[in-house]
Amino acid sequence: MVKIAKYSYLNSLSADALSAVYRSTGADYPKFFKMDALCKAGFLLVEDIVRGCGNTPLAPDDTSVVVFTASGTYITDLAFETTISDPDNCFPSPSVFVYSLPNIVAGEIAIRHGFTNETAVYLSSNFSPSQIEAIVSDTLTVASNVLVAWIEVTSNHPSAIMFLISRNGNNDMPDFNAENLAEIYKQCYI
Amino acid sequence: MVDIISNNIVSPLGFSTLQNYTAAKEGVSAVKPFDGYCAAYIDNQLLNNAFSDICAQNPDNYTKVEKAAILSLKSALNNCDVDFCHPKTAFFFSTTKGNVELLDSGDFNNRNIHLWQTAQKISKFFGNENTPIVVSNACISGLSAMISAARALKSKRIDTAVVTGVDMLSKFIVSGFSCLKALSQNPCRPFDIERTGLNLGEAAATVVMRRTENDSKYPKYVSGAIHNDAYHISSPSKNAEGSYRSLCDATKGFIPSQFAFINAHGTSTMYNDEMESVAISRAGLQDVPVNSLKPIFGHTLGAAGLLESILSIGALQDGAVLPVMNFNEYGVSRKINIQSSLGSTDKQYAIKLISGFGGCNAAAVFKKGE
Repeated sequence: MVKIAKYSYLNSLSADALSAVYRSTGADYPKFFKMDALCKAGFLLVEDIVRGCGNTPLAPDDTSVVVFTASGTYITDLAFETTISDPDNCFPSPSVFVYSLPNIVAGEIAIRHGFTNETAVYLSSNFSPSQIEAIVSDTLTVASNVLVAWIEVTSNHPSAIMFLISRNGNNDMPDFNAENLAEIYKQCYI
Repeated sequence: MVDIISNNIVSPLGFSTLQNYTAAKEGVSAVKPFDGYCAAYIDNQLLNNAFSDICAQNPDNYTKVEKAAILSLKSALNNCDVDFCHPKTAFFFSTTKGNVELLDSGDFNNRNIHLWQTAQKISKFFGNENTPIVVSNACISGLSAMISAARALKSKRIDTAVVTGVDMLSKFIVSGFSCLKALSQNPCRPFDIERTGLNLGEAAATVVMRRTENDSKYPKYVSGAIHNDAYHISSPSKNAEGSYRSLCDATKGFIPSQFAFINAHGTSTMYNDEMESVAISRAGLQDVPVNSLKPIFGHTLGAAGLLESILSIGALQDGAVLPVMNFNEYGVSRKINIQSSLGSTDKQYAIKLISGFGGCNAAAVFKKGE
C-alpha cells in the first residue's frame, strides 16, 4: 500500500533557526555550514525523517529524493551575481556558483545518506499536491521510498516540508494522495 | 514504448534538426575562440529575425532563452499534429539557469526570473494555460525531462509530452564555469589525453513524445534511468556509481552487440571523461562505439540531453556513427571503443549517457524508426 509514512517540517528558515535545528539533531556534519538555505532545509528535513525510521532504515538504493521549489536557488543566484557584477572587482566563487544549481539540495541529501537511486528537482509556482502526487507516483515505479519535499526559502511565507512516501506502508498511515498531502501541509502551515 | 514523433534543434549551426545533423555529420563546429575560452553562441541577429517571423507583436518582450525555446517548440509542433493546449498534452521544460541573464542586467525584480515563470511565459505564447512541468537537474536536465515525460505517458495520465530544453550563455554561467576552472581555452577534445576542459554552447531543443499504441514507424524512446553518485556535489564518483547504475538499468535485457553506439556526455573535462570510461567498461559495454558531440555544439547544459538524443536518433536513422571530433590520442584509464572517424551501422539501438553536478547521472536507450 502506498502511504505517507512520515513527514517533517520546519517552522522558520532563518539562518539562526536552521543552525539551531542542526544543533538539536546532534549531527556531526561540518559541511552543513557550507550549504545554502535550500540545502540546509532539505538536509534537516531528511535528518528528522531518517531518525524517525529508527531501526528500519531506508534502503540507500531503493530511496529516491524529489524536491519541489518555486524560487529554487534565487538567493544564491543573487549572492553569486554580486561577485561578478563589477568588472573591476570580479571575484566569482566556485563554492557559491555550485549552490546556484537547484538540484544540489537533492545531491547533498544523497551524499549524506548514500542514496544512489534517483534524485530530481522540479520548479513550481506553489505547493502543488496534485503535481507532487503525479511525479511521485511515477518515481515509485523505480524506488520503494520517495522522500519528497516542498522547500521555499525566499517568499514572505517560507515553508519546508518533506514527506516519506512508501510502497510498504501500513494501515495506520494516511493514503498517499493529493488530498492528504494538502491536509498535512495545511496543519503545518495554516 | 514511446514514439518520438517530432523534434527540433535551434543552435548556432541552424534552426532545424536537418541543418544541425548535416553540420554534425560534416564535422562543422560552432565552437569559436573568445577571450580565454571557447564557446558556441547563437547569433542574436539571426535568432531575432527568425523569432520576429513567428512573433509579430512585441518580439523584444522576450529574452534570448525564451526566443530560442519558442522557436524550437514552434518548429517541432509544426511538424506534427499535436494539440499543445490539450489537457492530456503536458509541457516539460528543462533548463539549468533559464533567464539568469536578467540578473546580469540588474533586473532583479523581473517577473520571469524564476524558472517556472519562464516556462509559463513560453507556454502562454502558444495560448497554453496548462501548468508546465519544470525540471532542473543541472546538466542531465534535458534527458531527465524526457525520462520523466516517458513515465507520465506510461502512467496514461497524459497522451502526449512536449519536452523543450534551453540554456543561453549569460555572464553568470560563463563566470561560474570559469571560476570552477572547467573551461578550456581551446576547442574541446573529449576522451583525448590532451583534453583541458569543456566549451559551453547555446541551444534549444524539443522532442514531442507520444505513447505507442500500435506498431508505428517512429523512432522510439525505449528505456531510461537516473541515479545519483552519492559522492560529491561537483565531481563525479571515482567508481562511476551513478552513471554505471543508470547504464545497467537502461540497458537491462539488451546485449552489447545490439547497440550502434553510446553517445556519451564527453565534456572533455579530466574527471567526466575518465568517469564515463569507468561506467562504460563496468557495464560491459567497452566494445560499443562511443562518441561525444561537445566539440561540435559545446556543452549546451539544459538542452544537451535533448539535442544529443535527437542527433543520436538522427544518426540511427541515417545508419551513421558520428565521430568524436578533435580526438587524437587515447586519454582515459579504461579501455573503451572511441569512435574516431565517421562510421556506419545497421544496428537498431543507441544509448545516450549524461552526468551533472549534484552527482546526478542518466542513461536512455533509443530505437531507430522505420
